[in-house]
Amino acid sequence: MAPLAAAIHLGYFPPRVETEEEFRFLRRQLLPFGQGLKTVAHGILLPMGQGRAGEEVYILATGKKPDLLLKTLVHMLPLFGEDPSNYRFIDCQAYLSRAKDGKVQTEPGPCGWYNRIGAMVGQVQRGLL
Amino acid sequence: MKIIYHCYGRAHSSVVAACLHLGKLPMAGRVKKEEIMAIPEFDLAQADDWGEPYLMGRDELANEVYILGLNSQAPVCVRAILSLAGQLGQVSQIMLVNTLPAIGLATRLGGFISKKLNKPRVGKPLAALGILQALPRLRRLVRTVKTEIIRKVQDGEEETDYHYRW
Repeated sequence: MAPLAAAIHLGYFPPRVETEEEFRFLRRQLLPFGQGLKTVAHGILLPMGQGRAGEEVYILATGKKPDLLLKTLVHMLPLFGEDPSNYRFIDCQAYLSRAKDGKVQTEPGPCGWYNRIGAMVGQVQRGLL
Repeated sequence: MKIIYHCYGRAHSSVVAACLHLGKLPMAGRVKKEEIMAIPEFDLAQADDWGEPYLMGRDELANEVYILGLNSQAPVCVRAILSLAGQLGQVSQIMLVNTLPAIGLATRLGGFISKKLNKPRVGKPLAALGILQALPRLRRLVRTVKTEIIRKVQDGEEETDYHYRW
């Protein structure tokens, strides 16, 4: 999910798909890290590229319990002289779960799943998350 | 440099290792259970404190010494911290030291009773007793860390990432 979100964020993939055919075409593309990461790679920040506003985009596999990992990273930033407000850690799984619970308006099917990720990226880009 | 002693809950082994490092506990000779229990941070941290580095002080070389609780997620969190440090070009500025392997069953059991079962009057003395048994190992660990720091300063070596798992 995170590699897809990063690809949308960086403009490699469109933020929306209208047909299943379009969705299937995108799924066939060899997205880096699209097959998931092994457990030993969990916790490693992987740089994906630079967004339109110059923001650096990373992906991070967190495993099943992301909370402590993300909290640790946020609290480590000041130790490295960084301002945590300059960083956004987006829990893609949590966002999609919210969509599943009906807290976010969604459309059904695989296109809906893709478009929810696109919507999440849009919100991140607009600084709404 | 920032030295981070990390363990399960940031309440026992990392606290004592940091105290040894900072000279708040002696590196040789006998230590009483009461001295361990009198450390303000000993058996103090709660689950909410996990993931938050806590500054214990500065050592004789002005290195900052922190303690950190990583629950059972130490491997992934350590990878994340080192990865973040790498991205920020500061790997040489951080040393992560796992203190958990230095302690035995008594401290783990004491910690469990104090924190999980919420019975600190029983758990804290047991954890302190376990720390006394593990003190030679903790001292050896701290001694190795200090040797590494000195070696690093002398060598001017700045491209190694440090993570100790004794």
